[in-house]
Amino acid sequence: MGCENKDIRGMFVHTSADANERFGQSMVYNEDHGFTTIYTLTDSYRVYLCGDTHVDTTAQNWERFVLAYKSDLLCPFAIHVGDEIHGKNHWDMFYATAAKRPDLYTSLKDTLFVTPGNHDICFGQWEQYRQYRRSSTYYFETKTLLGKRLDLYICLDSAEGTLGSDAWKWLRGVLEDAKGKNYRHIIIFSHVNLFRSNYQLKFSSNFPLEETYELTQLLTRYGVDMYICGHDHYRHTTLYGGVKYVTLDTLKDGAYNASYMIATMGEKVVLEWIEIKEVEK
Amino acid sequence: MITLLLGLMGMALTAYAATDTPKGETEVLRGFGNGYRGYALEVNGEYRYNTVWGHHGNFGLIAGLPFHPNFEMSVRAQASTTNAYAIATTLRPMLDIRVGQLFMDADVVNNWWVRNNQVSVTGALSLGWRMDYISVELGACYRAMQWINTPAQSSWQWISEPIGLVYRLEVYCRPRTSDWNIWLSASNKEPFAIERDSQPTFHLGAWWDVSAHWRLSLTGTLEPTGILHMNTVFYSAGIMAGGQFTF
Repeated sequence: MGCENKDIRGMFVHTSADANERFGQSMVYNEDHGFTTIYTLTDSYRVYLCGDTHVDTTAQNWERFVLAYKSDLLCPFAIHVGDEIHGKNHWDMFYATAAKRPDLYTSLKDTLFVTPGNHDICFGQWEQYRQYRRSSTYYFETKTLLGKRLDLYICLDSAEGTLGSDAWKWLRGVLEDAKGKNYRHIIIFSHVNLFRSNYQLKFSSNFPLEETYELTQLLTRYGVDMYICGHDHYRHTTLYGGVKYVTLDTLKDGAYNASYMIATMGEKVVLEWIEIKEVEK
Repeated sequence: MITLLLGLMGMALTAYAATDTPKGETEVLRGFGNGYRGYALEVNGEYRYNTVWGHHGNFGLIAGLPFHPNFEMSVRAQASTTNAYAIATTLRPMLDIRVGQLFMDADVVNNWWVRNNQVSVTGALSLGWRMDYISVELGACYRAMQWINTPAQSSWQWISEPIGLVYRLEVYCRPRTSDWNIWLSASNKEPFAIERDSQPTFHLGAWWDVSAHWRLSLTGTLEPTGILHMNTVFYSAGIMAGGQFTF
């Protein structure tokens, strides 16, 4: 990718709505539409997770991922942890591609939960993100068809490397409310890594220090099971304070390490990585 | 990073080799030599805001110990109203060269994030070159963190991050030994914390030597985040006032 997909202006000023503005707009959408409950056939189900597809002119790995989770009867939904697209005008390009495969894309809005990555909103593309993905900060829960409460999923918008002051207050409130609901697992997904990993030897980035320690302590205090993110493009897991921090591989076409993850949600969470190596861009 | 360090060393050594004049008082007065005018103690107070902790105050104590014309040490402590604390030390050997002065900083910063039940230790080694109006510094750091009291749901554990960059660029409007000065800097290395390399902090500062013993200083801080995300947004700002007494 050339410089045309690097938002140099964005390194000095934010070109999209800032974290608090995005949070406010997301809350307006959430209040109008409500928070989602996903019903599962059994206590045990599977969630497919991917990140960093960086779709531009092709979306082969992305389509493989969608086909895989939609054909799995035990998978009620999937999660994308951000950087769906790569650069300028790619949302329109992505949905032009999507229009050619309505079988894959038309029902995504009900089964795919996403969080914005930095590439999704650079070049001032937050408005396109809103148009296609509607909300960047929300939660949903899973229940069995008999009404048994299972797991809580919280989506945090870290596309700017910070949650912003308003989202912090909201997150504390959601976790406090969750204490009384006896969820089996609490899963948080966002784009940015909390810790630098061994593979982060390029110009990737994290949260500021204060936010890192505040978030790790909050997740431990409220018994969050996993924090799942992307951003680095390389798989990495760390256990810290009883919380498993998972960074997903990229799912970009042509990436030698392209993979997605399947989380089997039962009394325990079992993670499995599905590698895609044969698709060359 | 290694290339940059080697380049910096090469340039400095070239400049050193080009001179056959021993260093003397006149060049010290030009702004090279010790960063401190003598053994010094500084007290400072800071108002700070960040989007996570909100409004808070920091109180710091800095001892400057120039043991030798070619070696100085700094010991620092800070307490915050947010229930976070820091102690830090820097060892700095220095070498006068034809143009300016080379120095090497060995830093250890110990942050006690008591409010978050965590503690971190960051070590950094960097090579710098300071001149009358500009100072550049580049090196590497390593961070380890752990819980102060191990959470009930986990066993004792610590984690570390791989080696990252430290950097500092300072620009002065007058030579460094001037009795007043205004300066700008960009760095991820602060007196009481070493941030991740993707997280620079910008300062605009001034000092005024009101007497042979007293120096007053004022420093403004701006810390955006998301620069390398290509989505820069405000994260933190503050203003610090300090008084330094040189014995």
